[in-house]
Order: sequence, then C-alpha cells, then structure tokens
Amino acid sequence: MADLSRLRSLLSRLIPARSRPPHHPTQLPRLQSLWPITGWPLWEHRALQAGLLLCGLFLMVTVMSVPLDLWEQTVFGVLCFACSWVINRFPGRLITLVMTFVSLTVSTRYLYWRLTETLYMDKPVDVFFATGLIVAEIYAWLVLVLGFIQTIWPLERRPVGLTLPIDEWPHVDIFIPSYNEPLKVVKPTVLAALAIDWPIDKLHIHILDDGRREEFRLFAEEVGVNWVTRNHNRHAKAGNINEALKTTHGEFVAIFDCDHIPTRSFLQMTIGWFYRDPKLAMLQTPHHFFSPDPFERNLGTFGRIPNEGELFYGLVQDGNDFWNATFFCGSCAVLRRAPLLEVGGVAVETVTEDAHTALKMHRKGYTTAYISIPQAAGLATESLSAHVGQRIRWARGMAQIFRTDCPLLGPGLTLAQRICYSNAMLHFFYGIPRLIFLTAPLAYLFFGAHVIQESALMIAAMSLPHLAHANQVNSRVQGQFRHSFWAEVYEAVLAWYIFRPTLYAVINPKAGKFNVTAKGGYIERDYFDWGIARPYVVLLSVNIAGLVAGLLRMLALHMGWESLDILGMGHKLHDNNDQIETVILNMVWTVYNLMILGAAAAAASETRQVRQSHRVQFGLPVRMQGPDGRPFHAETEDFSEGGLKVRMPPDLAFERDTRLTLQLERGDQIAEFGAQVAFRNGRSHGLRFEDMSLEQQMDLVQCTFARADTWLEMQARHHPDRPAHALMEVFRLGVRGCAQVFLRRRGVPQPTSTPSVSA
Amino acid sequence: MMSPLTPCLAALTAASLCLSLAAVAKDTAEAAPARAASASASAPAAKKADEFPSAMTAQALRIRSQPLAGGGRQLSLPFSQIGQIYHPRPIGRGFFRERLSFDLRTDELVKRATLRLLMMPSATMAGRSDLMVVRLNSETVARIVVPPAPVPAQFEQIIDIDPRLLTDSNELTVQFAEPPSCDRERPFPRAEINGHSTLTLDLQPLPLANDLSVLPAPFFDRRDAIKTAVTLVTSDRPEGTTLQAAGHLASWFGALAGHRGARVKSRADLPASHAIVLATPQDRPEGVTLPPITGATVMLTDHPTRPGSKVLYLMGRDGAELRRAVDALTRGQLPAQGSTAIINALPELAARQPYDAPRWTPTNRPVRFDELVKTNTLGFSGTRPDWMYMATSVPMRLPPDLFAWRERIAPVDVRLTHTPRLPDAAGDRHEDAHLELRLNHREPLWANNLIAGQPRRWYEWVRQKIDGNEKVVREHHAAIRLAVESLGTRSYQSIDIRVRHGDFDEIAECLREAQAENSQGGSADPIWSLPSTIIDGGSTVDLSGAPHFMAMPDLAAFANAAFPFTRMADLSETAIVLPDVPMREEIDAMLGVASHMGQSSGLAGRALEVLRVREIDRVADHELVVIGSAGSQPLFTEWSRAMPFRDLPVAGSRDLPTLPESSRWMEWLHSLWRKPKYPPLPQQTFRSVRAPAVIAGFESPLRESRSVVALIGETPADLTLLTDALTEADQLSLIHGHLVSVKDDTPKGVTAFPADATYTTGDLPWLTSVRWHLSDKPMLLWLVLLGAVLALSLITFVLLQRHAIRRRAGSPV
Repeated sequence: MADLSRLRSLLSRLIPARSRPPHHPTQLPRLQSLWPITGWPLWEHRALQAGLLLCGLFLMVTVMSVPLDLWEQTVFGVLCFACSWVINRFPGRLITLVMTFVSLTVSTRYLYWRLTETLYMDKPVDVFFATGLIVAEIYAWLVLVLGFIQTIWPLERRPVGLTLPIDEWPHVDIFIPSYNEPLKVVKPTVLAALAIDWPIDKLHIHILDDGRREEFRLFAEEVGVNWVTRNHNRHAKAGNINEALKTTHGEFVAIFDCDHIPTRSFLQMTIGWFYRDPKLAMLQTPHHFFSPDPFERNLGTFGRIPNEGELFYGLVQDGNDFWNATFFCGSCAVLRRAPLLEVGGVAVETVTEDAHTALKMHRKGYTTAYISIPQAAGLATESLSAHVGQRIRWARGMAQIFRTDCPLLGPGLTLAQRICYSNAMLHFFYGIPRLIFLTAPLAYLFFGAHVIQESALMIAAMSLPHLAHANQVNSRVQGQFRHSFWAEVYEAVLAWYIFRPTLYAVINPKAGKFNVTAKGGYIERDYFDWGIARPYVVLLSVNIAGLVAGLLRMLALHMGWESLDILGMGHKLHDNNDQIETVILNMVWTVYNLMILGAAAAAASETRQVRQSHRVQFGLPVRMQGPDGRPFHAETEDFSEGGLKVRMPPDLAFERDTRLTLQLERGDQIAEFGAQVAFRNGRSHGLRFEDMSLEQQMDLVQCTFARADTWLEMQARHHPDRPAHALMEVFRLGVRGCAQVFLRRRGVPQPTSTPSVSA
Repeated sequence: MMSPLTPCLAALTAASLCLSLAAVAKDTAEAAPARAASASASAPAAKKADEFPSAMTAQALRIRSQPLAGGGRQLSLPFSQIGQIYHPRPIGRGFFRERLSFDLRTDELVKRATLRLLMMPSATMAGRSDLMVVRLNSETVARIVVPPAPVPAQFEQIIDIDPRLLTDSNELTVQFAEPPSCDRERPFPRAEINGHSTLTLDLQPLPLANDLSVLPAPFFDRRDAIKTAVTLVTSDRPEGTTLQAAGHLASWFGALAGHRGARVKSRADLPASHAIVLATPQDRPEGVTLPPITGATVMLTDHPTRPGSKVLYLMGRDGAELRRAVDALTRGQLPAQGSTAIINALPELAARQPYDAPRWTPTNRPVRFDELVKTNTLGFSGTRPDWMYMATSVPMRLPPDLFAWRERIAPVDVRLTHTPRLPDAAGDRHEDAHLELRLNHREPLWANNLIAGQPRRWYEWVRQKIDGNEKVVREHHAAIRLAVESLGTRSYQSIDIRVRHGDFDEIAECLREAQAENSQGGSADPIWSLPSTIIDGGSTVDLSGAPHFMAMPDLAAFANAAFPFTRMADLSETAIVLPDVPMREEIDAMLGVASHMGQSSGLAGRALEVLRVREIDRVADHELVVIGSAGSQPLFTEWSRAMPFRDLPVAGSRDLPTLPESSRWMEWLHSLWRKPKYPPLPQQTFRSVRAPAVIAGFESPLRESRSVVALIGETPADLTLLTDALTEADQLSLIHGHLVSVKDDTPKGVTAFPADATYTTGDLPWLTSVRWHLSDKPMLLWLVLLGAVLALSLITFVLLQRHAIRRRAGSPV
C-alpha cells in the first residue's frame, strides 16, 4: 500500500508541535504505536467509513438523549472528565479529536436536557428570564460547535519557493493606503517595502494617499515610490485601493496598512504558493503588533498572555485554511489581480470590505491560503476606546455581510466554507448573550425567578461537565493563542458596545459609515476611562447588589422568613421550591461574573505610555565603536525607531551623552549610525540615535523591522495556558478592577471618551 | 359511598379544600370566643359547639347499614357521603340552596325516615330568625326556624320525613325560605350545613318474585351505595371446577359492585340471608337439599327457612355444566321469565385483547371526553368565588404499565365553545375567561385565555356589527401535549379542567338567582346573562403513543388495578393457586382476590384458573396468585429463593443460607455501576415484619417476566386480614413495593417495603429500551460514549488527515 508509507511519513510532520501542551513534555512511546492503525488499508473502504460515522453518530446521539438522575449524572460526568483529563496529557491530533467529540457530546447533552426538561414553567417572570437564558445558551452552543469545526485541523501551511527563472518573476504592486496618518507612521512602512527582496524592476510601491498631502508627495519623490491620489474619498480604503487598481498593472497586489512594516522576505514567502495553486486568489499573513494593545497595556499582560487578536491569526485563520475559507484581513496579504478585478475590486458594500472581498472570491471558486508566519508588524490601537471602536466596525461589517450577502445562502461555497464564514459572523453577535450570562443569576437573586426548572444540584451536575469539557478542549486547542477565561474578559469589555451596532446592522445593513482606526498616538498620563467603563460599572454595581440580595435570601431561608415588606410592597422571599443550594449556585455564578466584570473594568484604566516610539525586544549583533575608536561587539536588547538598548560587554561602561558609533549588518551590507547614551542601567545602555539622513533611516528600518526573522520569536514567548493560573490571573485583575471602580478615585480630571457608535 | 368520580374530584379539590379549610379554621378560631361568651350569657337551648362533631371530620364518615330487630335494616346516609362531599359550603346570597342526591334500592321499602340536620349559622344571622326550608323531591318536608340571637355555634334539628316521599332516586334540598335579598347594604344570612348531618332510613325488604330476570338482585343492586356482600355455598372440600366457578362468580360480583367493593364469602351450609349454592352431584354442600339436576341449571328460589331471603342454585351434572351455568349468569344469557333455566349451550365469545377491560380507558386510540364523563359536567356557566373553582375532572383509569417516562407526551385536543356575557350597557364590564388543564392536579400544563367580548376574526366583527347584540360564540381548538410522567401506577388518573370567568359578583349572582326564582321558569333578563364555556364531548385525549412496559414487582399495580392479572380482562392469563387441601379461609381469600380482579377490570373473569399446587405445571406460563399459609402452601418453601423474603415459619426453612455481608466499599463500587434506590430486600424476614399476614410480589420462578403475588398468612385465618385490606380503599392505597405486611384492619396496620425492580413486563420500542436501560447505568453509558467517540475520532482523523494532505499539496479542496 503506497499510501500507507506516505501517510506514515507525513504523520510525523502532521503531528504539530503546537498542539502539544508544552507543560506536559512527557511523551509515551507506547501511545505513538497507536498511530499506525490510522494507516491501515481497511480505512479505504467507503462502507467502513460510512458505517463507522453512522454508528458513532447514532451512539453519540443516544448518549446525548439518555436522561440520568443526579447520582448517575454525577458518576457519568466524573468518568467523562477523568478520562479526558488523563488523555489530555498525551499529544496528538487524534487525542484532540477524541476530546472534542467527548466535549461535543457532553455539551449537546446539556443543551438537550435544558430544552427538554428544564423549561416547564408558567410564571411570567420565569418565562421571561428563562427565554433569554436559553437563547444565550443555544448561541453559545452553536458557536462552540462551529468553532470546533473551524479549528478542527489547523493547516500550518509552509511557504513554498518560486521555481521560475528570475526574469519570469511577476510584477508586484505594493499598496500602502493612508488617509490621515502622520508621515512618521507611514515612513518606516515605505522604507521597509523598498527593501523587500524582489527584482527591483518588478516591485512597484504605491502610497495611496487619500489625504492628498504635499508632505507625502515630497517623500514619495525623495524615495522614488509612486504617489497615488484621487479627487474624492468615496468608499474610504476600499475605494482608494480600487482607484489604484485602475492605474497599476502588476500581476499581484500586496496590501499593507500604512503602519504595517513588512519584512524583506514577505514576497519570497508568499508568491510561491500562487504558482503551486493556480486557483489561489489571495494569501494572507498574520497581523502582528509590536506595541501592546490597550488590554495588554492596561492589564500589564504584554508578552505574557496572548492578546485578543492572536487567536484569530494564530488559530482561526489557520483552521479556516484547512477548509479553504481563509479570509482577507485588509493588510499583509497578497492578491492576484485577475480574480480581484473579476469580483469588482475590493468590496465596497460593507464596512469590512476585506472579508467580503474574500467571500466574493470564494463564491467564484477561487481559493485562499494562509501562512501563519508574521511577515509584517504594526502598531496596535492606542486606547481602549479606539480599540472598541475598531471592534464595533468589524462587528457591524460582519453583521452587514451576514445580512446582505449571507454566506449560508448564495452560490459557490462549500458547506465548510459556509460554516466558517457563519461562525466568523456569528461570533460578533456575542453582545447580548454575554450580557445575559453576566446578569442571569440576578433574575433569581432579585426576583426569585427560577430560570432553570431543576434543583440546583442537578443543574450543577449537568452544567459543570459541559463547561469543564468545553474549557479543557479550548485550552488544549487554543491555549497557545488564548488563555482560558480570557475570552470572557475580552467579550465582557466589548459586549455592551457591540450588541447595538450588530443589532442595527442586522436590521438595516446600509446604515453606518467607515471609521478609521487611530494608531500611532500615545497616552500621556494614567487615567480611568469612566466613559468607556460606564457599562461595567453599572453591571458591577447590580451584581454586587445581587450578591447582597443573595445573602438576604440565604438569611431568609435560614430564619424561615416568608416575605419582606419594603415600602408597603410585599416582596416574597422564597417559595416552597427554594433551596439553599439554589441561592449558593446563583451567588457563585454572580461572584464569577463579578470577577470577569472587574477585569473588564481594569482594562478601562488607561496606563500611561512611557515612550513615543514602541520598542521591539530583539537581540541583534551590533558592532560598536566608543569615543576611543576601539571597536567591540555587543547585542541589542530592544530597538525602536529612535534608539536602541544595548547590552555592553562586561568590562565596558559609558557615561551619559557619550557619543558612540554603531554598525548593524544586513546581509553583506553594513549600515553605520551615530548615537548617544541616554541612560545606563548596569550593563544595559539606552542609546538615542542622532539625526539621521533618509538613507540612514532606510538602513535602520531594513536592519531592524524589516528583518525576516524579527517577528518569528514573538509568539513563542507567551506563558503556556494553565487554566488554574489563568483563573487566578483573571481573579487578581477582577479584584483590581473592582478596587479601581469602587475604592480609588483619582483627583485628576479625566478625559472621558465614548466609542463612536455611528448608525 | 362515593360516586365513581369522587376519587378524582376529591383529589382535584384537595388544593382548594386546603385553602378553604384554612379559611374556615380561621373563622372558627375567631368566632369561638365570641360564641363562648354569648353562650354563657343566655340561650340554654343552644348546645355548646363542641357537643357537635366538627365539620372537618365528616369526610371520614361511611354509609352504614345495620340489621333491624324486626327484620330489614337501618341505613344511615351522612351528608358528607351523598353529595356534600368536599366541604361544607355556606348557603347564602348567591348560593342559597344545598342539593343532595341519593338512590335507594328497589327491593326495599322505607318504613321510617329521619333527618338529623346540623347547621352552623353565620354571624350575620344574629338578631334574626330566618326560616329555612327542607324539601325532598320538591315537597317541603320541614321549615326550620333558625334560633334567634345570640347565635349558637351549631344547632341540631331532627326532622321526621314522610317515607312515602322517597323513591328510587331522590333529591334533598335545604334552602332559605325567603328569596335572597340582593340589597348590597343589607346583610344576607348565611348558614353552613355540617357534613355530619345524616338521613337515617329504616328499610324493609319487599317480597321479590322468583324470576331470573331480577338477577343480579337481590344479591346486588346498583342503587345500593354500600359494599356488596355475597355468600356462596359449596361443599367443605370443593373440587377444582367448583372453585373455578366460585372464582368466576366472585369476579363477576366484583365487576358489578365496582367502586362499592364486594365481599364474597363461602360456607358449607345455607346462611340466614340470600345465598348462592354451587353444586354438582359429586360435589355438593352437606345439609343443603338440592333440586334435581338435569343439566346446567340456574334456579332462583325462596330460602327454605328464612322468608324474604332468596337462594340461587347454580348446578350441573359435572363441573363443566356448573361452569356453563355460572357463565350464563355472568353473561346475562338467561331467559327473561321463569325461576329455572337449563342452559344447553352458550355461543362462543371472541377472544379478548390485552388492555380492553371495560373499566379501563382505551389506550389504543384517542378517547373522547364524553366517553369518560357525562357531557353535562363539561359545561361551565357563571362565576364563582376564588375558593370555589368551576372545575371538572375527566377521569381515566389507565393500565398501570403505561410507560410514561420523562419526555413522553400525550396529545390532548380540547374543543370548546365560549359564550361571553352580553356587552354591558356601559360597556365597562371586565371580561376575563381562563381555561386550565392539569394532569393529576399537577401544575397546569396548558392555560389558555379565552378572552371574550372582542371578536377575533373579521367575520365575527362584521357579524357583531350587523346583528348588534348577537352573541359571539367561539370555537377553540388546541392540540396540547401533556407530559404524562406523573402517571405512576395508581389506577385513577384525571385531566382536570378548571375554568374561571372573571371576578365573582355576589350581588349580580343573587339578582340573577332571585329573578330566576320569581320568573318561575320564564326566560331570565338577558342583562344578567352569564358567560359560559362548554367543552365539547368530542375533545380527545390520546395515550396510544405510550408503550406498555413496567418495572416489577410493584404491588401498587396489584392493589390499584389487579395488574398484571387484569391485562387480559377475562383473566385468561391468570391462575390462583391454592394449597392441595384448601381451608375455608383460603377459599375466601381466593374469592376476595377474584372479586378484586373483577372490580379492577369491570368484567367477570370467565377464563380464570383456580387450581391446587399439584396442578401448577399446567399454568406455568400464567400470572400467578399463590394463596396459603406458611404451613399449607409448599410453594412458599420451594420458591423461597425467588421470594423477596425468607424465614417462613415452617419446618426446613430455618436453614436458609445467610447472605454474605458485602463491605461498604464494595457497595459503593457497585453503586457506580447501578445505584440501588432502596435497601436490598433479602434482609426482610417474616419475623422482622412482625405481622401475621403479608402480600409479596416477585417474578415467577416458572417463567421469565411473569409475576407471582403471594398472599401469605401465618395461619389460614390470618388471610382474612389481606382479603379485607383488598376491599378497603384506605388500606388499599397504602399497598406498594415488593412486600406488604398487614397487621390489623386499620390503615396503620399496613406496612409496605419498597425495593428495586427485579424484572420487567411488557415491551418497549428498541430505541426507548436502549435509553431506558442505559438511564440507570452511568458507567455503561460512559463506555458507550467511549466507543462512539473512538469510532468517530478514528474515522474523522483519517478523513481529515487526507484532506490536509491534499490542501497542503495545493489542491483547492
């Protein structure tokens, strides 16, 4: 069997390093011996495939629907989780699949139980709250299941080389659209683009300046790139690119946001695939940010805990690639001109023009690809309000696509593509469900509503396995890109802001305008952004009130009080169904919500940004010359556009303002810069560059940001996900956030901001 | 005795009863000191409150029949049992009369009738002396002057009634003499009739012709509310066929008596009352002169020594003929005239289907409401105060093995016509109409607002506009699904319907009633029209979706429905096993069980097998009832391993092996596989239950899935305790589990020992069966999940891996 050996040899490569939890280095050789069974020729038989699938599905559905009593359910739940917990120690995608199916069964079982056994109720107050909760739970289940499908097999595509002779290499246009960003932001991008390894006559760089600024024209002239303008600003970025498409002719178009500094290897890494797969229309690379996003900065998690975007670029897009459903993200991507023109250029109907363009290309039967190797880096949004604004735009855009060009309908898509697109869009509807989860226990604590008609113990016995398995599988699959419990923090911050735009967009997809994400600014001082934190402060307050109400209820149950007379209104404290467990369950849930909300509030506490230029931690060898002219070698600790931090050899130390010369290498070229020591801390010396010529600026960018290997190490620096630690971390932040809201009020007048919700 | 509906109704009103009892209790508590004070002041005529029985205890009264010295009997009918069933409701404005109905036997003459009326006037009667009228069959029999102030707590009035006024079916009315005054300002008197009020009748039997057409009288009369008692006369050592005929006869009387209960006893000589003699030339009771036997004979004659009593002879030249005579009697295939009939042949009967007992609600098709309940009880008109719902129950008697597990559902299709009251002149009358359906008084399963007044459809609107005051009559159709998980093994189920037509307006009700009283049958002024809701008799409930399956043993099913014996209504799969030489008490126990079965099914068990132990192999595949005492019934020793207890006090059974004590750790491990719901039974012993008689249920050692119910007495005489328990509703309701011990003839003497099921009867659809068997074995469920997940993961792994290889090779899909 020829396939067998091929499968086996591929096997070793397909078992990815990243799905091995790094904190369990134990790999048992015995389990590896299990693998060959998947190479058995017997799997070839269609009948066996269908039989196994049907039989497995039938048994799974049976298990989902078998009702159990409390004790039996407890035993079943513990057995399932114990089994998952044991096999989670072993690496491999087969194990991941097993755990996924167990989680799927347990969660569906939970939902089935919720739908069939817990919804018999007659009191209007119960019905009202229960309806909300069950809708939220169905949504959560749907997203969980679609997510499982989407990320079932991250493809981990590798770059392929270009086999053509060099004079047949294609022409490539590089578009750098800009609207109002300062030149300071755009400059490094253009300089890095100039350094991309590609035949010089086949690389065409265009600054698409919608601001029509003289300053830009001069700069373009100076560095010898194309300055493209138009006489209107219709359709913002999409219109800008479409306009430029008319005047350019390269076979490929690479698009970079004006602050995304590409590495020199960008085209070498990407173009090859277009020749391997002739139907390939777009290849996306990750968006990498070397500055902390507001969460990372405000919560102090930069570099330790994966940020919000990493899940998408690290896992979701890679998983999409497996299903040929990777979508265009507006930047750091290469597109083939012909298909792009065939779908009418970049889509202009929605505010997320990028995803919509990819959808259109998929409908035409083109493929897309994703290479999960950072090939460009940029600046993250500067403040939480700006970040929220950006997410609102995405959410609205996705909701718009869902309404105007629903991926579930229409021609040309495979089922898997429809699922992946739907999940991407559905994901942005988390606003209302998240708010429901954050307030659900209050329905009982305040109004005594029994939203789940079951005993508290039974609810716990059913829901805990559901939650535990879902978290466990997600931790295994996503752990490297998102830590446990952090998704809830991110969602809690955005939920309030995102639910209205998505709702509006679903009702009227035409409304709303494009808002540009502000970047490159900096926060001058610490402040608590009361404007943006208002929803969490309100939610925190009612949750704390709920906790108090819960304590009252507990007291009432304990003392046997029947009702409470407040302001002449008889408030019934409990009825016969009430048990102390119900109160405890709801209070535990409330405490959990408080933790999440506290962490969300902590994210609204804007931390001062120390520097104007963001530093990238990277060790570059540098050759230096002191005032005495003696050369020596050192290594950088970090670098930025304005300076470097260098770790000097042990016997060397320089005073402040000492002038040094440093040389950075790039291939066989050597660039020389003058710098002064700005500060010293042991062996670390902070150096500030002296004024540089354009030539030198270009050299600096090319030696630092545009290096092919600059961003490779960045993702590996995160701590591995350990759910208990993640919980502790979120708890710590939750306490901090609560303290900031309720205890510490700063005297400084604080600027407040509201994310622009334009509808 | 109660009417057939009463168990359901009683249960339905349980909730309302509680509420209203609480209210009444409160009233009493408040009024008590005032009464005490007034009583001490004067009114020596009024007795103290505590000299009268409390209205609360009336529910426990029974209709009693006592023989009179001069022949005949005395029958006392407490009000609490003949109509005023639930709650002494005050008669007053709005409801100003109390109606009670009762039937009397046709073969008895009322010699004397005395009514003892206990009444509790309300405080509003202070200072007045109102007249109340008692009517019997529309004739005024007495006028009562309610004693004037100070109001007595209760007063008693003894009224002699002219016995000639009494007929077969009677209506007794107590009401105020004066039509109600509806003036809102004037208080209207109220009075409560205590349920202890009793009508006592002296009855003299009428001479009855010796005509076969009168049968089953005088042995049974359906108008008689008391328990039916029948005496059979057989030889001292009856043969098998005679026993079988006796069992058949007993089950027939059980079926006839129904809810009244039947007590069938046997003896070897003629009693001093009606009797039925079973005889063949080979097997005849000593000392009874038999007429000549020429074939299967049914003959009704006078009692040779007791005038007024009758003897029914059922005879044959052999056992088969005797059985034919009994069969002719139970099937009613006797000549219309004459006192003697020789039965030559009887037509064959079609075989019965399982679950087709006449008293059971059919479960193979949708059942119409009017099959289950009298249509006139499905109409609701007017409004009622909150404590008095307009409600009815659609009673059902379902097979106990109806498998109602978890989410199983039964569609109920309710059709109804709602007529709203006429629009008020002012148009501001609040209209509110609600309908609620419950199963077995659980929380409402369906509640619908019948909001009247506003037309719902355009053509109704048009019609209303054109016709002005035209009534809007509306049809409601709703297919609703009842969760039947609450069915359980009780025999009586009910769909309870509760209708509410808005707030009760006492004055309006009073005016309406006063007008009806004055207009003497003329049509009432439409302004006082009332909303009405009539539930169509064609509404259906459909339980045909539920399979028949049951975890056994469950003696509750035996007690409530004689299940599984009555599965075939003619008892064709049932055998009652007696000792080889049955004692008289053992025969009586057999008759008791047979009549219990007949009562449960409503059909005479013509195919019932009654046999002795030595013939047991013949009925190995039957459901068995084994009767005997520890010493007389060898099966109890033989089957001791299969029985749910040991240590019968007979020789040889003491050396039973002791069970190995399992450690707590092992028990815990075992509970992971399957947790027992009850402590294991083998620890129970005959001595430990400390009762002379027990009923035990277990799987038949002869056939799988067949049941045995064993009636065991320490001595044969102790079996009487069990036979009595089977006829007393109070004791019957306590029988459940695997094992029931009966110590005496009170409900307290009945102790049930529940235990886990050991076998099952019936069949489930295979999918349900899989789920049911998995539902108490979590570890097995987990193993199944593991298998499913492994299969799925392996195959998806292979398929996904291939897809990934293709994708990484640059293929589009």
